[in-house]
Amino acid sequence: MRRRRGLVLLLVLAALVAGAVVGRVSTASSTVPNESLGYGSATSVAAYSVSGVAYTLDSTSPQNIDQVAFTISPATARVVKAQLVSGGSWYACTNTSGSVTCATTSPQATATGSTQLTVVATQ
Amino acid sequence: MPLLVLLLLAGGLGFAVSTAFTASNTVPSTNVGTYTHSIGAADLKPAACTGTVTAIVNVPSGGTAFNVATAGNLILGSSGNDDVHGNANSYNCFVGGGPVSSNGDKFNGPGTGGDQCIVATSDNAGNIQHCTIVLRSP
Repeated sequence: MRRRRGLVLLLVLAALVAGAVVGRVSTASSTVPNESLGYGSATSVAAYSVSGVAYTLDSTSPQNIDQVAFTISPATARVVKAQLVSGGSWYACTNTSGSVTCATTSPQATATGSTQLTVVATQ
Repeated sequence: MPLLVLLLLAGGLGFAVSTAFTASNTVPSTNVGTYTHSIGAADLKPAACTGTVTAIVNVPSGGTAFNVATAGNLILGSSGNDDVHGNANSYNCFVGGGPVSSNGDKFNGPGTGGDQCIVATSDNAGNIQHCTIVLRSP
């Protein structure tokens, strides 16, 4: 009788573990679909659009670029950074209701050394 | 309680608990984006220069005579006084820069290309030959 009770207890525990494993496996298979950019469900990933890009040359040393400005949409981007040459320095930007400005003086960007604008943005 | 029912209940309980736990690992909604665009002379050209430019020419510092024989350039001055000779018979845009006071930038165009110049307010207009001053800065 005592051995039978132990056997029943063992079977119940095994059933609990088996159920947990099945549950874990079934939810783990609910993978996030691949998107071209970012992470999240398909409905929550959205790329930003950038327009109206304008560069400001230094007034006394015009071979240098002091600022890049542009409009970003959606305007809610919280973190925006810009790069003026592939593999180069990243410049922090300020977003005011979709109007973004990025000072490019530290390190100083130059006209001939700036070949590609890359902007990254996230909420 | 029959053993089979007991086992089914235990299995169901384990499934429910583990599902609830893993389902709580949600990914927050977010927007992430990357924008890339090449930068050329036309992108850097000040709006006051209205012609077409396709290349950038840096004027070397030192103030010695500097010849630009080609057209379609955005000619960028040094931080000192420059002496630029635009010898092409087509458009160039010269952005002089240089000192704010007593600026001595010089530009002498061919007179046939419709060159445009942005030079300092303190620069004597007589220093700019055959080039339309479209903006004074700095």
